[in-house]
Amino acid sequence: MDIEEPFFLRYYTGHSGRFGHEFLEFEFHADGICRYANNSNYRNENMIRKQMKVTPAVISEVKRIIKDSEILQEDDEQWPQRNSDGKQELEIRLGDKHISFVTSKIASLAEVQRSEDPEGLRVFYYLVQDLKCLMLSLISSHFKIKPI
Amino acid sequence: MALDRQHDSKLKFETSEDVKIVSRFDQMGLKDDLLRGIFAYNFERPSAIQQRAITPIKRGRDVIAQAQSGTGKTATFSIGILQSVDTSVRDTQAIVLAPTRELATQIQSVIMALGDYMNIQSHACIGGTRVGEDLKKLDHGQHIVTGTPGRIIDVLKRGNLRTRHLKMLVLDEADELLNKGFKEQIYDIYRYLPPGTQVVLLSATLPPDVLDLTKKFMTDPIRILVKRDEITLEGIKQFFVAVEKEEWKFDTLCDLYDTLTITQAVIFCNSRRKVDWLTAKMREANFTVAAMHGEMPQRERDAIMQEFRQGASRVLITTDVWARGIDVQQVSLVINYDLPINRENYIHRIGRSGRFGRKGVAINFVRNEDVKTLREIEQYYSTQIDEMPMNVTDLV
Repeated sequence: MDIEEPFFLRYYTGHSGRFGHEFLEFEFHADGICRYANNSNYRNENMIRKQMKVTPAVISEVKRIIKDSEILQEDDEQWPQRNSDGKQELEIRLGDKHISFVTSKIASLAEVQRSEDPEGLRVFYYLVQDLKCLMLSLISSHFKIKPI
Repeated sequence: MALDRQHDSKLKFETSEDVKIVSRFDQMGLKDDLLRGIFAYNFERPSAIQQRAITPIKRGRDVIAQAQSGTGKTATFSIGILQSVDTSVRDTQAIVLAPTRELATQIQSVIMALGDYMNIQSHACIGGTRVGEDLKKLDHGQHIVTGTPGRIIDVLKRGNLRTRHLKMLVLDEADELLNKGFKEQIYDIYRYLPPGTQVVLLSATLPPDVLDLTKKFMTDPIRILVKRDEITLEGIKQFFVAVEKEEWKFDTLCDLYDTLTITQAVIFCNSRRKVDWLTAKMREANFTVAAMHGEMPQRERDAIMQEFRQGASRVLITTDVWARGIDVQQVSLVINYDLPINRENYIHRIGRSGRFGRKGVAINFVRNEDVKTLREIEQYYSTQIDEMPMNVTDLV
């Protein structure tokens, strides 16, 4: 693996409503720094921020997930526009490729199917699911006290 | 992205810095006969909340204790109470309040079990029963009284629950007890307490606006808190089924029935009427289901609870009366036939499964227009709620 290969990933999902600007956002950086934020003003809640450093093995796994998904070959031109229910953003820089996608929140696979670009949007939908799963697992293994 | 660590210092409520961890029950300085009760109850190692909260409760501090559902909060305060009760004094030394009758009863039985070697007198004062029984029991002398707010106020006003030797007030499911429906009653009870009574609050969910309220009646409390993004349990897998029309939920439920009965399942609806309707419709289609809600006579509620606890019934259709605290370890599946009306009860409802480290599955039935609300819940708790796979049976 080329350590010097430029790499950056950021995912955001959020909306504004009666509980303020509620969002979940995370980043992976080439040097292993991972940052995460979750904001809500529901019942006076506020921002949660977490930061950690992961090993090169984790970063190369993130890169593998991205490459296998073939998201870098997709285009968000026909994806649903952000709307009053909120938006999702996915920015990835990998080698000489740089994507910055914006679309609406996706309720379910049926919505993906009904869209103008079901194949591209499905790639995005499953990639986001995988990335979220990885990030949330990393966050909880770094920060969460085992309750039992 | 505006990730700025300096902002962190502005957070108002954090776990107190001086929380110590005691990782064994026999290092907590508990009475021998209490320790015997704990081990006889098959507890070996204290859970995270028990390691942190029992000691400050025992030392007499006001405590706010938050922990994931099914991780041992009831035993935490029960052990704390049993440690501080002086059994040679026959008066009531601790009152435990709970939002439902079934929970108050369950807590009383946990206290009795843990205090099995201590000669503890304990009684549950709950609505829907004859108050005369309560008065008789109270006059006999009860070290620990559990109950629902309405009945507790009643017996306080009558003077049969005497607070002269009261040391401790526990609010279980504290955020619920401090919500609109109960708050005034809690304040009424508080007025009967001797000055300096130790106050202990517990819940899986403690929103900041509730923590703010506690300043009014707690003194320099020890806080043991869990952030909202750490409150869901990894052992509970969450799914949803999107349906176009409300009517399709019923067909989905029928399709899932065989999965439900593998162990035990709880189905939540948002109203008593809907529980009655769904129960009738399921029975009409020849499915065996039990049902329970707050409009039923207490005698009937008791019978349904007993059957479900014994496993004689396996599928229970109910309302939020069942959302909090009830511990039936065989429940491995929860269905939200309706999405809960607030974010807290989502956590409490799904927490009826996955008790004390067991695995569980939660399935949300959502109309297309409700998916948005579910996605907001998912984001708020930083959790994942995926569409239900075909092999859901393998996960139960």
